[in-house]
Amino acid sequence: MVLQESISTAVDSIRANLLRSLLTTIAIVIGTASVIAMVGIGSSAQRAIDDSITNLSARTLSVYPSRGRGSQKISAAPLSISDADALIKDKEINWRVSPEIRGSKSLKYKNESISISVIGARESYLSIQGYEIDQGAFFTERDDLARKRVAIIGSSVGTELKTSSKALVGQDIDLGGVTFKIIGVTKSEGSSGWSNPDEQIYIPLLTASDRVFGRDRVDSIRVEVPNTYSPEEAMISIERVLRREHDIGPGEENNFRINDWSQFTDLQKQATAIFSALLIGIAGISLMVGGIGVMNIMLVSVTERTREIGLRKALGATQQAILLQFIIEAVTLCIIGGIIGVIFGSSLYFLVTVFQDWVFTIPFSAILGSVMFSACVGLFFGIWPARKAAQLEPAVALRYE
Amino acid sequence: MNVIDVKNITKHYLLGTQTVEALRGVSFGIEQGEFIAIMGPSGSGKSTLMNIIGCLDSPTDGTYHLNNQEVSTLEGDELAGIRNKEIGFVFQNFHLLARNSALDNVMLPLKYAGVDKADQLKRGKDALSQVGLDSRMDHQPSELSGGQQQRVAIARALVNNPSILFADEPTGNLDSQTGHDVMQLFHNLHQQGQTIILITHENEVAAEAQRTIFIKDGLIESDIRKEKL
Repeated sequence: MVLQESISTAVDSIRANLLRSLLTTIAIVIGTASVIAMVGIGSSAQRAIDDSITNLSARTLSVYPSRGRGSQKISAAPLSISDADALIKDKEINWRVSPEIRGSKSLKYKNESISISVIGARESYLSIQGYEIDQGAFFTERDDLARKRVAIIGSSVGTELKTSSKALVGQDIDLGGVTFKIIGVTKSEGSSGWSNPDEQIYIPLLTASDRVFGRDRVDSIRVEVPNTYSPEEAMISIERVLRREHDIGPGEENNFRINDWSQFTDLQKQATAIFSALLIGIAGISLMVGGIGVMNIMLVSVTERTREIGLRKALGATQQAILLQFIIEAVTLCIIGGIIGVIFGSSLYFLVTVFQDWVFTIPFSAILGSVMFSACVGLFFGIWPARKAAQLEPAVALRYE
Repeated sequence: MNVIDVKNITKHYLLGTQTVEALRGVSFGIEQGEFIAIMGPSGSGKSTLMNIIGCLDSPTDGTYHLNNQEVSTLEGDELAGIRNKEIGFVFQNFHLLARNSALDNVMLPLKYAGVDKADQLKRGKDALSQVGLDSRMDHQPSELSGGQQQRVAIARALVNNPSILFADEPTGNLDSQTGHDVMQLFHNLHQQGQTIILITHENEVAAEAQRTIFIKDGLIESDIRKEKL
């Protein structure tokens, strides 16, 4: 009965000083909003990263030429097609190997000319990348060995040339001064963040090496490892083959590097963790500041209502009843702030998901948890003002001016 | 039978380093059903005496029996319980809760007494009709005249059937006609057997009581009973 009365008194009192009460809760609002946005954005980002890693397949390793670290310059020994062939010939692990030559060339078709990212690759490239053919076909190993001038274009290349990719199949184009015949179009993949496969052109590796770029140096070798081997085992094997190919003596450093995608995942996880820590910091400070603000306003409220407290005591209110009344007022104030914060935080998070094209999921426990935590802030910071109110002498409080 | 029995009560305050003797040994008794006025100039100890009899404060020394219960040794929540059950307060400036209806104001002592909701409503409405305000139950204090507000306060004082109705300058903020009406209400209650203690500095108001105690310098100067006519 006393509890119900206290709650309605608290709500009345907050309503009577609505503006003041809302201003007081701003820091609580910011704190709770940060928590909700953090949890939401954090979980969505994690899911997005996990998805992109799954797409790339965590079992794919990439080998790059080493750039040499610091002052200790390691001769920039390039990776070559023969390195890739050596990996293919090694039978310890039945991996699939995809060397790539990359570069930018101008593409001319009729009167249109664009600059395009060219990828010279083997036939296995398509399935290792997980791409699919929409129109026509990908080139074959025979096309590669014959250094045929055939090309497959990404789905949006046609649009850039003021026509459609579909219409370009079977047409001749000029790529860096060499005439190519377009034999296929890939399905739209969407940007992966650092490159857009839809805007690239794919040609056979040896064609790229002999006819377009004039080098047998490759930019990377991608190695797809079967599930029966761990990435670590595969890395050791790759190192063994390449050290032999590059004639690296015992104790010397590698002049190539192997990127394991799981390292990339770890880095992303770290970044997410730092981001989360930052937001937790903001949330913590805001809730602390908010709590002090609530305490301040409760002290003001106790002073303003000294006579009311005196009256309540004269009518028989116990210390506990007064204590409860003011604690409930502080807690109610914080819960209102918490709820507004949840609304703001979810809206912010929703906007981010719209722009990032993420899935919107806030766990109910996060909402409940942050509102409960706000309530605890109110409880903690409300106790002192409430005790002050409870301990007022009724005779003195009644005559307070 | 005495409702109030006060023996040799003293009250000392520490004001800075000085001890102020507000009451220096006061003794008297009040019988059930008496209508009594306590008078005295400011600084006489009248307010201190009122606080002690009203269980808002405890005496430094002496004994105070309320309905044969020793209350001078009680403190804090025990006194709150006594105030709730035994004493009904009426103040000069009404002391109503501004955002609550007349009925809610009247029910407040019952809420602290832990009376169930249905009973609160019934007794609250009864008390309001006793002071002639049944038609104004849902009005807030700001929608009531001064006289009406004071009658709400009287209803609130009566709602828990107290042993003593305690009125501190009840007509001090009212015009003479309204004041007269309120005094008439007190007379009616007195005739129904209610014990009433009136604190005032106006002779005219005190003259309405059957008995007047004058306080001066922390002592009882005189205790006069009116001749029954």
